[in-house]
Amino acid sequence: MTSFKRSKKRQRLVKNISTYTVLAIVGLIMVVPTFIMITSSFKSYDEYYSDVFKLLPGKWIFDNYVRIFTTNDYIFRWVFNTLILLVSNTVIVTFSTILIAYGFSKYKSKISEVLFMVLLSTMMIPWAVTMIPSYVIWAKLGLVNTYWPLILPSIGGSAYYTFMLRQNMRGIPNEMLESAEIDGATSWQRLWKIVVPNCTPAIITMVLFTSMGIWGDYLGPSIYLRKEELYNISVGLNSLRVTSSSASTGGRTDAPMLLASSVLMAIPSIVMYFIGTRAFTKGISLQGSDK
Amino acid sequence: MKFMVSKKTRKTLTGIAYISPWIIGFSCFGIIPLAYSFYCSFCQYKLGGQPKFLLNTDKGLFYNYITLFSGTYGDFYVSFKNTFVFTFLTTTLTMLIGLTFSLIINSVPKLKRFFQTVYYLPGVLPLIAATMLWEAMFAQQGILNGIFGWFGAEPIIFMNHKNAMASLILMSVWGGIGGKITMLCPTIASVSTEMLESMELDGANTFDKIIHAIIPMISPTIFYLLIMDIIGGLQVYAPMMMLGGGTATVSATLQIYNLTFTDRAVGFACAYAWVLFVLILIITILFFRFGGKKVYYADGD
Repeated sequence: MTSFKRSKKRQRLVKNISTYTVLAIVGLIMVVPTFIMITSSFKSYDEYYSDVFKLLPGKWIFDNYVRIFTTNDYIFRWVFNTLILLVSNTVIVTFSTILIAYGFSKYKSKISEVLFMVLLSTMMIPWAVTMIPSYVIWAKLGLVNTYWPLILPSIGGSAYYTFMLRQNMRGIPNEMLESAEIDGATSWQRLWKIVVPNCTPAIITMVLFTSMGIWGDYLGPSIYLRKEELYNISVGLNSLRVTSSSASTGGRTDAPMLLASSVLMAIPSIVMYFIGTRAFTKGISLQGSDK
Repeated sequence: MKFMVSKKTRKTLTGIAYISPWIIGFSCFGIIPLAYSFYCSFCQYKLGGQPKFLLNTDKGLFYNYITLFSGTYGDFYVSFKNTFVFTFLTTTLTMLIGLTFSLIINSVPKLKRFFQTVYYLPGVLPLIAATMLWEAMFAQQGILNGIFGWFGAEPIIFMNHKNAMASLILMSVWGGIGGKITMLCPTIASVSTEMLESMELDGANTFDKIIHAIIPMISPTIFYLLIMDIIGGLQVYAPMMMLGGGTATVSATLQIYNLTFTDRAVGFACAYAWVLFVLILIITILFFRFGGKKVYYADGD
């Protein structure tokens, strides 16, 4: 009997070790590109091109990082622009989405049920259908090369996070709100004092993922911002990507500098992800607390 | 006399008031552009000029649509084929790999969170960073060829006509697996262990448990992820826009972008966009019709 138990235990151990090995190997494949991006950003330009097959740089240099800031006049401006877009969009989207989700979850009526179906189906509208006429209209209003086309649409909130927050808010018992109402709390106070504190994880998730999205946003800014001093980071770095292959580099792209700038750009995203990672698992539960 | 409103009406109105940001946003940035784009799809319209309604020309109302479907202009069929190939392969591969590794991660006693984070890391990179990274990976003297070189392989040209699509799919799958795992792992963990244990007592092996218990229980999440992936995949543009690949990879949305900003043919671009819209609607409805039946809902809803 004991020997049977022991062999079962050993079997499990062997199984676990092999499972961990598989997970580790595939995990390595997932991480290696990012790892190479980091190490290559510390290689000198000549070493990168002569010895691209070597994983670690022979000599660690920081010149690539310095070059980002010395060869580009606008880099700080781009960071600043991105922060303006990030803060304004995140604040507006979050505020709107909270209000909308509250309306849909706690003030249900026949009209709002219909509107909610409309909201869900808007997620199917290809972005390409509205992109062109929107651009044409903004252009006619003379607002291309301003931040309005990139900020104002946030007023409508995010359909995806409205859905998620609504699921969360439905989980808050109505009795709790009713008793607050009897105590004289207005609808507005109930929202900010009871509902919002009860779905903090979902809201943090929304804030972080919206910020990450805007931090890396490329397409919208590339359509509406056509002056170098207005670029956000993505559009700016992409312009470097295109222009870095000049005569002075023998027609080759300045890959180590581009990789260095990618590293710098990825750091805030990774930090936001790690801060939000706990809230994320709590907030994202799709099954919802729909009881 | 005081104006009296019933409690129910007041509740409805309060609700509408809270929803109003969305109503305003959707009207201005949804309905108006949609209507305008529908109108433009029946117009002769060069970017920067004025739209001219096609009935007022000698070309006929459906000129833009007919030209696109005849395949004489705008790489209509090529870009649709690319879009379908990309969507089908990316969706299936990310789901299969993501599901497999979610199951594996859930089966180990420790480090679950650690592995979830490691697998999600590629998904955290901003688009432009991922682009620069993969440009360096795919370059002819690039990193991948370097690694293959250790094993004595001939250098591969990743972005030529033959390989470009496969390269872009590889990049997208790499970036997409983590998202699936983050969604699937908690769902799999929530499957009742009692049920799995009782199955084990009845002599079921791991494979039986996965096929007959876990997959049906998590099917709503799988279904949801597939729908989102298909809708997203049919609108893909970023990898091909950033890394290129020409006609071998041009997608529907990228083609619409090119028609607008390169050819400046707004009428054609709008018509193309509406075809894409209708196609996404049809595919989504079909998917709900036929796939929805296979989804298991615990509350029988």
